[in-house]
Amino acid sequence: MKKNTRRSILVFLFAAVVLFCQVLLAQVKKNLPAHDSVMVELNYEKAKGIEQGPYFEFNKNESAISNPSVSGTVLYKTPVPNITNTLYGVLPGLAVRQGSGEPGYDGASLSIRGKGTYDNAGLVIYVDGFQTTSSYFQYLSASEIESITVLKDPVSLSTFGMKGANGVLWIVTKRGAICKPTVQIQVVDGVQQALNIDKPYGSYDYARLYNQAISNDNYALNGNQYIYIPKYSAAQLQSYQNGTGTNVDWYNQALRKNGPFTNANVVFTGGDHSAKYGVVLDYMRQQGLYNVATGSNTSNAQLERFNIRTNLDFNFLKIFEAKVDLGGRIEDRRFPNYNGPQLWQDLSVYPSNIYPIKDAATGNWSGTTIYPNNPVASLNALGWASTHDRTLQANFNLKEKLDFIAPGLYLNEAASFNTWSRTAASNTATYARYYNGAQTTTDKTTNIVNNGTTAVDQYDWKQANITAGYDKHFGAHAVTAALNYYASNYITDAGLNTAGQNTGTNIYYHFENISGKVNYSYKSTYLLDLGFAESGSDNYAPGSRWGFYPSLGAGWVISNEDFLKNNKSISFLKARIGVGKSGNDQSNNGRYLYQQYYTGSGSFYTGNSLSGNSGIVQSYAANPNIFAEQSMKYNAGFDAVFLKKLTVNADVFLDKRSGIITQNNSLMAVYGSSQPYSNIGKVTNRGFEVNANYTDKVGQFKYNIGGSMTYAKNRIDYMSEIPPVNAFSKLTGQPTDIPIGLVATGLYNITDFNADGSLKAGLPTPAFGAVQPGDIKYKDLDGNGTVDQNDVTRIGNPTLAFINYSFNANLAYKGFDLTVLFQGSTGSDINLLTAAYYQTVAFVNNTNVYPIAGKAWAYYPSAGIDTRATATYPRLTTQANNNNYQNSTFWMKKDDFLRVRNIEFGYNFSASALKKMHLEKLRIYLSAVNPFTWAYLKTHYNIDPETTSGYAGLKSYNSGITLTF
Amino acid sequence: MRYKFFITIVAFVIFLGACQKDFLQMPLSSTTTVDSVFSTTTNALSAVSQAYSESLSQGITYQGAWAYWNAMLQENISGALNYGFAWSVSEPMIMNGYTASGTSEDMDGFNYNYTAIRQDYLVAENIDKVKDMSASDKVLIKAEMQALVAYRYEQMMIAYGGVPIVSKTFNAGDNLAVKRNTVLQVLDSVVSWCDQSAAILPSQWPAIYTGRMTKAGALAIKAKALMYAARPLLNTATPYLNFGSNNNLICLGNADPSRWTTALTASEAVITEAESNGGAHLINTGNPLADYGTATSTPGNAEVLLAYKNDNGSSDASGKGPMACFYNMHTWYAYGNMLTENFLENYYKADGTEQSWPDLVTVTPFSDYLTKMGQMEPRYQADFKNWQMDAANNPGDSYWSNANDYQWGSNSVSIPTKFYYKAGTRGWFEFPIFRLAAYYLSSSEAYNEIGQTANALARLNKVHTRAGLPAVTTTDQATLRTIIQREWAIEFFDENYRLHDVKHWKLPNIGNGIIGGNIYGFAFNNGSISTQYGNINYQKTLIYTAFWAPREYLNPFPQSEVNKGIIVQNPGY
Repeated sequence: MKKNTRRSILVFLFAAVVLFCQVLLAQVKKNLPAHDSVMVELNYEKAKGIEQGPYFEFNKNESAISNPSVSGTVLYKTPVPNITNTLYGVLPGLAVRQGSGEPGYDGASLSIRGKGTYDNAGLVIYVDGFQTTSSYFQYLSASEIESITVLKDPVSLSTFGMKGANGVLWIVTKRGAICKPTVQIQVVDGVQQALNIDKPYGSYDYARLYNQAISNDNYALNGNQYIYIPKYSAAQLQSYQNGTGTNVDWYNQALRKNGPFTNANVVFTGGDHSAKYGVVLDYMRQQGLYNVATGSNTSNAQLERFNIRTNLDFNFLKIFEAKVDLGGRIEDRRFPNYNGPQLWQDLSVYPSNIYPIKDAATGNWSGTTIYPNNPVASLNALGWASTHDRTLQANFNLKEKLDFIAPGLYLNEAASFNTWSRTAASNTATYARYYNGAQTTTDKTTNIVNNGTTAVDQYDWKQANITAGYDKHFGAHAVTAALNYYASNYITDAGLNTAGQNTGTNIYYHFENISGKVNYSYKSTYLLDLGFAESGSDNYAPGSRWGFYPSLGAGWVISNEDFLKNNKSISFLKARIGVGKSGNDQSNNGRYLYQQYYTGSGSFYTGNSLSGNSGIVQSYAANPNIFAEQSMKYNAGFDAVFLKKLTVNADVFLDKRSGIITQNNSLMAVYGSSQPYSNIGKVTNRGFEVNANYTDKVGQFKYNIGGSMTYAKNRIDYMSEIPPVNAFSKLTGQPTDIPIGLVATGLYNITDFNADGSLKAGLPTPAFGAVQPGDIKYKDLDGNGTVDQNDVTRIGNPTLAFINYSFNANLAYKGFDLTVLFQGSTGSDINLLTAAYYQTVAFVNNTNVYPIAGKAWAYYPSAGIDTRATATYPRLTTQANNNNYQNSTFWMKKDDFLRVRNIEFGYNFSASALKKMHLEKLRIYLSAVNPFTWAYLKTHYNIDPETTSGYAGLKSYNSGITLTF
Repeated sequence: MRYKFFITIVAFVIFLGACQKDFLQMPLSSTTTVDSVFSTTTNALSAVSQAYSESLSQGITYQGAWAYWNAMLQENISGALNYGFAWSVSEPMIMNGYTASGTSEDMDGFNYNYTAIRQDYLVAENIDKVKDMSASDKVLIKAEMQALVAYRYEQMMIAYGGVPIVSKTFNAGDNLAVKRNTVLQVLDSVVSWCDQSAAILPSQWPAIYTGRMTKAGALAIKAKALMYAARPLLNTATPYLNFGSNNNLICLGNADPSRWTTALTASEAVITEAESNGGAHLINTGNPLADYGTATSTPGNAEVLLAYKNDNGSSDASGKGPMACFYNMHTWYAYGNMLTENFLENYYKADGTEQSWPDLVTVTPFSDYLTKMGQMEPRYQADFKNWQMDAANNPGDSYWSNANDYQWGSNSVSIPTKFYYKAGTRGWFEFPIFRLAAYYLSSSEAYNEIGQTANALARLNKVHTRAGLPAVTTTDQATLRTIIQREWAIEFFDENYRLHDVKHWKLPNIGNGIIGGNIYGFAFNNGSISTQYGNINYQKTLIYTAFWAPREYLNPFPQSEVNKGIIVQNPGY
């Protein structure tokens, strides 16, 4: 913490120097207009009224297209390293699910309007008009971002052609404005903490329950008698209880409570009619939760990020407008030389009583063959590793205004070069493991050595855009139109290129798109939008590479009609509809599925000397007609303003996917090969969004309350499913990603068994191995007397929630302001066995036991144990119990939750005070990220609803300052 | 002004049109496509190898230890061997019968037949594209592929009855609604394919290519199909279960005794071709153990007309080749495959008389076991290692001694050692698909059925006396039928005949001690299991009671295929 304070002071000193220079400069440049306002605020207003999207920005009121935007200022209110974690609840239609909090690997998963397909549902990201990777987007700084728009409207998406089906995130970075030179300095400093850590039981409860488990395992061997044969003696139990026995809280030992977070940035803007500049320098440093110093021999998990953005605009020779945008970044990650997810798994499975951290007899690190990786030693004794990432997006744009040919006509050419590379370096060591004075493994303690630097991965993305546009008003008619040609050439490393078939060495991705859009309005009341794209992808056979994607939208501003014009309660009302086609050429099944491939396979021998002849076999059968998945999107909605205070937007949408690339399992076996991939899958996704905002003021008290909700639910209409034995096991007709499993009906009781341990007549026989009292009982859904994999059915909802909602409040009184943002979801379920396996399954494979198993079924009258009536967990076992750990309703839990994503309390100094300080704006604030969570899983199982296992998700408490001059 | 506007637009469009045409062309990468497979002889011969490997693997544990469908021997479910370690596949079939859904089909499953057949057609259809191969070689390869297709259909006819006949590689867009053809259509196709390919195939291949399909091999496929067609299961108007209008999918539609004549002609043609042109002969040097051992075990011996010469590499977890996994008792996967008492009863004593075995009640001293086992005929000695005795098929080889080859105790009769005569530590072997001896027995069976008893005896005794047994002399047709069936059981133990023979003969006791019913073994040491040394006594004991239902005369089709609505399931499933 001390270091951070020091750094903050340095930043402030730096700011003070800059401030002084600025004051001098401002005196010199008095002839230029002052900045309209603080730049970001200006742009926020702009983002509200102007629709962002490909080719041209346009006034929302003149178009039938509606896509929500959020400004960088709003995103900046959530101080987190990864930009995806600022997006909760701020963009209606965009669902964001938090993941790991590990520094440098903390991206949230994003989806637009639910999920339209069971193939690749990944959205596509554009920064300043060019497609980028998710990794480039994730570590942009909110200080560089002007706005983020979720493109989900059918007309907007159709112009993306084969990139549009899953929706697009459209990011615009900050540019200069015509104003006097302005400098904004922002610093935020805080501490990050684990949202939740689900700790296992300590040694006493571990040993107590282990005794039950081992006794249960001997039940059958003991002639089905309940004989208590504890492994841990009463004396041992007592030693655990009174603190003399080994009882290590691994989480406490390996983790610290707080990880520091700092973000500082300086934004320079200004310019005149011939040149404008927007320059952003941003530094971010985040340290992880590991209880280890960052130095030459060890390292906490850490991310340092340096962003530089220079966006320049030039006007020259009357007809030219040029933009030069450079967005560069360095990311330095450091972490202990031990795989993060594995460390968290060790923390969750290593029992408290296995050994003290250091072997008492020798003072060396403890370790055994069963538990070789002492978590504290993993952090302290193995050294550290690091990666160094360099990223650059360089865009150049030239616009020619051709009004001399035809008024309103222009041409625009743009090119983008985006490149990323990663190198790795490490200082590593190994250590010997000891237990009770003896070495337990062959590992030796070595000196720490430097392993040099190696190249890891890279990508390179070149894109070009040429647009011809036309923008003209003729009386009551207004036309804005653009025609665009786009070409993209992406090259990645073979190591990164692994999704689906035929990737590997096929590292070149080429794509072309010819598209256009026309916006026509009559009297600003009758609105028409036309869009189209002709997309060509290199994934398909010559002759079937191109697809056509048209769209149409129409709107009617009803409030401009005479009968509503002077209506006092309805200030604005617009109805709109849209329909459009789009596609997706990036299937998870792979590329070049039209090519017939052959693979090597075994050998057959001839001759008496047995000369081997290697076999070669046709892989899946090629489908020469394979093509991009297709989406038909329909949208209807309205935008309204009531009493000039209440804004309401509502949309209903329907997404009919077809041609989803699927292996055609309906082909008869006589086909005789791996089924070909065909465009046969169908999914329907539908839902609605409502968004409302109420703004008012009472005297000096200004407030704004808003809320939004998205409902999206899909259904698999066809997926060429291999027909299951029973109709109730079918996936077709259900939503995508539903969990499938058995229906649990409780636990077996002693009365369910005969004296010889066999199940009583009439009870279905489970096919997963022998059962005994206390095991989970399942429903024999098909009634054939056996419970097996044919009795599986839908046991819950997908993890991606059907309903996502958020509400927020902004309150301001004089210089003070308070904002709160809540976000939650409902309608999803979690399978504990997949989401938190080690926190759920006790003892199996030498793992730990958690409070969830505290109420396990047990019956040992001789030891005074009888939980038969109250058990909520099956009988404990140390063996792989295939019966109990089947996917079933027993382990399905509701995943509803509501979080406070962000609270910020701030103070803006008054204008008079600022004038004395030669400042335009000074703001100080306190904020909290994810401070409160209400969740069924957390209440009942102490598990976070989003980050269920692994490196914990984060919350943070921060203080910050913004000054502008 | 307006024309300038249009010029600009036109210039823009021309610019777009000028974009590189091959921008979207797939670049060269490290993969093999259809064009490169059939461009050179080297690659094409790889495809040919694959065709042999897939087509001839039917019913054999070629996939190694963990491949589910291959984790058992056919003899496990025919009642000859205990179900052993392979219980995960064979046990439910033995105890509960076959079911159409999932796990109880015969070996690697119905669908895989068509994978093999597709590979055969793929080679035949594309071999003409190869540039550096002579036209005559291409004709030969096509004939080989045709014979391999015939082999798969012959085996499918025996296991399933009528099956869909395909005659090319399908494309995804083709109409794949191929219904089941009748048994008669399958039989006729097999016969005509074999006739066509036999006319082209060579009688012998040059040394480096031995093992490829020969004229005798093609004739052998045809003869096997015709013999099963003559047997009672298919050669009838009233099938094992009434299938109504679909009866012709599970039988030939009439009982025609002349089918035995046809089968006889085909069988004799194999013998003639193999012995006169193919360089094959029954191995008979007057040393029965060695002769039978060589004929069944030695790679490339003179009696084998077609063998499965599979990959013998170390491709599974145990470091043993896949074939060794379930046949070689040095590999733990095979430990459970032990001889049942039911099957033991088939073997003669070396002098041709019957052995008397203990009953369920009497506890007999173990010395009696050793004595009686010592009296058994040479083929028994070659095929099994008795408890507390060294294996007779590798005399003097410590690797096969009781000291080394005992794995664990059991309540069964003895341990199979077939296919490893004088093999030493060699784990692999070549599974004999067609042995010349089979056609002597086929001829014998056919002669007997058409009443030519003398000829039947002559053919039978060639095999019977080769095994060191005195010649059979009975002239009673029914008695001789039983003796011939017994000869099939003994001579071809573990060679994948028994399971289907007992069904196609419709043996009356099939559900009572053969496939179904009580399956016995030997208990040792007062009702316990055998030990490596110092066994005290033994008696007959019940191991399990196996399932049998008439529906199992033919296999079920996979439910997932039937659900597609084109294939009619066999009756009873």
